Amino acid sequence: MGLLPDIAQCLFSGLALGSIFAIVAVGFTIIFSSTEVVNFAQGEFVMLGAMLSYCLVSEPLKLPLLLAVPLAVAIALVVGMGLGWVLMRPLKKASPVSLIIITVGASMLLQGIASHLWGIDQVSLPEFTPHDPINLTLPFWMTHNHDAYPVTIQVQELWVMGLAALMVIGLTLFFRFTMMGKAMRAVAANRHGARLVGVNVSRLVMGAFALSAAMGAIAGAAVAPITSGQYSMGTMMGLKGFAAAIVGGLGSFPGSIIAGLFLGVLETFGARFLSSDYKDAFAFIILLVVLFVSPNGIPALLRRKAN
Amino acid sequence: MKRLTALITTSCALALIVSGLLAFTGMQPAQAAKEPYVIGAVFDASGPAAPLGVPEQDTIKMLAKQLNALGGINGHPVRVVIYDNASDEAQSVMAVKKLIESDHVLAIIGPSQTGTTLAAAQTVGAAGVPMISCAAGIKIVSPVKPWIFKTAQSDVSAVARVIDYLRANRISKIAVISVANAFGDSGKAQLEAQGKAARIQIVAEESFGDKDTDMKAQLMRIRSRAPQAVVCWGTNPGPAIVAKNMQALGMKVPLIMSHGVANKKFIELAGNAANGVVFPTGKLNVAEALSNGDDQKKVLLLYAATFKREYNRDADGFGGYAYDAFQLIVQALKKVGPDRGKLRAELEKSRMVGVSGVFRFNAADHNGLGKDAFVMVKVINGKWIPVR
Amino acid sequence: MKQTPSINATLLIAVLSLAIILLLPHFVHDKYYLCVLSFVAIYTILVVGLNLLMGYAGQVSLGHAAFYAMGAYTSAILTTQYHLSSWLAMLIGVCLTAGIAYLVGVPCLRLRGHYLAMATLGFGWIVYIVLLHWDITGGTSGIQGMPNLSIGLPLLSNQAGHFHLAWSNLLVFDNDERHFYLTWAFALVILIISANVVSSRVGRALRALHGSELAAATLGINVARYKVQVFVLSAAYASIAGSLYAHTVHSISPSLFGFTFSVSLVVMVVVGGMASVWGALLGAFSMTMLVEWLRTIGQSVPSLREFDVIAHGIILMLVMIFMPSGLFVTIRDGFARLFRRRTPQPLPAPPAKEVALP
Repeated sequence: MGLLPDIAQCLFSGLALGSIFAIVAVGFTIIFSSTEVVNFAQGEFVMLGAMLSYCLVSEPLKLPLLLAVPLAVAIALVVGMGLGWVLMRPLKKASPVSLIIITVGASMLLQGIASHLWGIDQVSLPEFTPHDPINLTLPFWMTHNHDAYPVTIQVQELWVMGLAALMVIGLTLFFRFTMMGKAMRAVAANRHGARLVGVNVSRLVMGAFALSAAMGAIAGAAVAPITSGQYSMGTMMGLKGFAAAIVGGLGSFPGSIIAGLFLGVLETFGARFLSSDYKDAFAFIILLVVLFVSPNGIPALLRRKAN
Repeated sequence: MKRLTALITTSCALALIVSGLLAFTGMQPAQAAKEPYVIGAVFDASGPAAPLGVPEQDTIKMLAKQLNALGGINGHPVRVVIYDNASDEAQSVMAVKKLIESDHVLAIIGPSQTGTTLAAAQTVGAAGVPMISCAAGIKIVSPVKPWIFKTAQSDVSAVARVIDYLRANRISKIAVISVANAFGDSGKAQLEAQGKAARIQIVAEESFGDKDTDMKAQLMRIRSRAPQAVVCWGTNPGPAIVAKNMQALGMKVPLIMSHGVANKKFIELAGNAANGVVFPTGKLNVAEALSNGDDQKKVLLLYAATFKREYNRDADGFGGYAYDAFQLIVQALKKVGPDRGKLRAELEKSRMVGVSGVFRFNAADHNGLGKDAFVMVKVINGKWIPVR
Repeated sequence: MKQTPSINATLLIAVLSLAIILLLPHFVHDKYYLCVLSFVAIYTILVVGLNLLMGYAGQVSLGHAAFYAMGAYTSAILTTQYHLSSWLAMLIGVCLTAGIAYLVGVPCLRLRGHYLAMATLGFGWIVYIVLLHWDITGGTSGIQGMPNLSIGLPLLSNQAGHFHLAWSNLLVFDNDERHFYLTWAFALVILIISANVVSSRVGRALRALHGSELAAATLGINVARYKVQVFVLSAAYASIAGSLYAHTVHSISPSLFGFTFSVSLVVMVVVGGMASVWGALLGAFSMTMLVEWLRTIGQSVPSLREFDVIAHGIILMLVMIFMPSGLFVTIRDGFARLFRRRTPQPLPAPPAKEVALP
């Protein structure tokens, strides 16, 4: 199969891309479950992770990457909490429409500040562990071609997927075993009921935002060495991560992850085999289809079919 | 307390409206330019095209200052009015209108991009004001529009240089990957046309969005067609990612790019994937390496030195486009004085040794530059080395 | 219940506006500002439609630039490549856009608040990407060279023995003043139509719908049908605005119709006031003037890089948090509150939070 190396390549790159979508989707889900707010500024946390890391590694601070990235994530976390705090008051009485618009405004604000502080140019970040790309030649019995191209794996892509996996595991443990995690699950299940049993909702909101921001920032810092950073990089990431969150069912943690990975792979395959011009449209087309057919996501559709 | 809140919010609301009205009535029409010569400029100085607009804007400010220090044009001081269109086409049109109708400028320099130029061109042409654009697209001057000129080298010439290089290196099968904007489309069209004439076959054509971060899909398709070289036509950051992706995919064929990457930013973004990339560049980047007999060497070195002294940054080709536009207008103004129609006619006959090349305008050619405005260079260890 | 302007108030405002518009060009020295105001008119048309959708029907559209684009591109393609009359092209544009809006609206409007926002967002992006890559739309450079709109009289002309319908141009809209009159004529007509819609039975049904869909349904209001109607109407308005843009600026390209512009429209609706037709005018005016003001400041204070984006973001957030009903209603109520001290004033009810239906 002459195309096998390409297929394998697409699969791998798609999973790496999908990991980012998945993390952004999970971020949306966490905030939505706790607050019923769709946070349009989610993608900007990814951008902040990347740009803050860049800022800290360059003049005049020149911190080592090992220090810069966690610091960047910490700052992004604080920004996230700030956004949560800003939303507290309107959360109580504003309509969903208003809340969406506020987060859209926050997104513009963050982009504006980023472009003011760090300029509009693209910036390059060093890889976490500089290394030549790993070339995996598929065995002959698979490709039937001695000259088949190897599947190239960039080490940074492994970092992206690894960190994403770690975050997912961390989150699962968090939801299962920590007080706040359980509180979030309670609020997601039944908001008023959770209040009744004494869950401090405002602290939860801040926590949800902090968590989503931190995760997004880690993803951003990890992906920037591959794609280069820019003040506007958050928009597409946010939108596609958002599409993944909807497809997976807004509020469903595993749904977000699977949908994110799926959309990443879909986009990569679509770009390679269908059309690279329209590749950005694939995620949105899936989004529309899902919204029309089953707004609560694929899991809901599957549940309905099962019944 | 509620009344206080009401008072505050109402006042803020009113303030917003009043400020709008103030902007409206507060602007006095500029004094009719009797003594000072007013030259207008619109640049994409913020937004995505800021890397183009900012050096252009800075260059114009610097030149205007220098010119006035030397006494202006025939004793008339020069006043430059610069607007930023934020890389937006609708704002480009508005800015140009403002320059023409509020500021009564004699000529307009800019904008920085093909899209924003084309948007403004209609208005400028209808109003009868000469405009010298700093954008590269061939559509700007072909078909020739009477009032529109440009100083940026044409992609026609850049492509011609690339074709020469391909032939000199006996490459006859290429793949083209371009960015999906006016710059990329224009270059791709030129490669198709000139490639056909030179019997160079394009075995694969791909494109990517200017915000795309991964071009492996397109490169994989290209790889399967086995071209002898890949020609990538775009402006940062896309080409840098193409270079990195090609390196990641282990593609060893020569990579040739456009003059859109003739800047330090490309090298910074692409890292060591930039090594070996060949592209045409205006002579500014290799000014020191030029022979002393080269017409442009003096102008280039002078511009580079004064820009560096003024702003403590390296000058680049984009600023050079603005430099040339300004000098052309000044040269013409010296001859014919403050009359838009006469300016236009004079510009059409102009000859000038500039930063972007040696200009020879005529009625059929409002760009005035040819292949000789470019040299082919290769990136080796972060430096540009001329090649044949 | 939101206050509705009575028919008399509407008539008064309409007459006043007409007077202002007719007289304005004579008082404005700087023709550039006529151009700015023409843009305000075009944006007003866009914003009124979106306002009806967002304020009265309570639906968010984050992709309205798509309909604007459809009108503009239809006009552009039909007039430059097929040489149809500009008015005919505009009409076709409206029909086409309305048709597409209907097809998109029917499935979309079954969704709630944030789902609809997402669906329209996705739709807007798809349209933008198509505009960028489709040959017919000219790709990234777009289309230039649309003719001016003109009014003429048909006349029979005899050419080479055949009778032939031609148009004599009585009035060509080709300069800033005429563009001003043209765009504002459209804007005024649309504003008045919308004001009538709002105070009619349809408008009352819409407001009931916005208050609570459940309650409205129990009252026998066909919720879905009204939502779709408003959506289609707002799309039709957007199409008209797009055609007007095409024929006054003569150059369009995809970058005008992206997500950023859709967001700007939402900002204008929000700032002006979500449930007010005249608020739409105010919103379009304020935000356009703000951009102009920033442009003027930007000239003298160059260090304010990207300030317009920051300003947009801040304004959006502040307005939604502190002035959620928008400028128009806030000012109106503010005045009312300041001047009527004795009467107990019922505060305007904040937009009701949608009941979270399981």
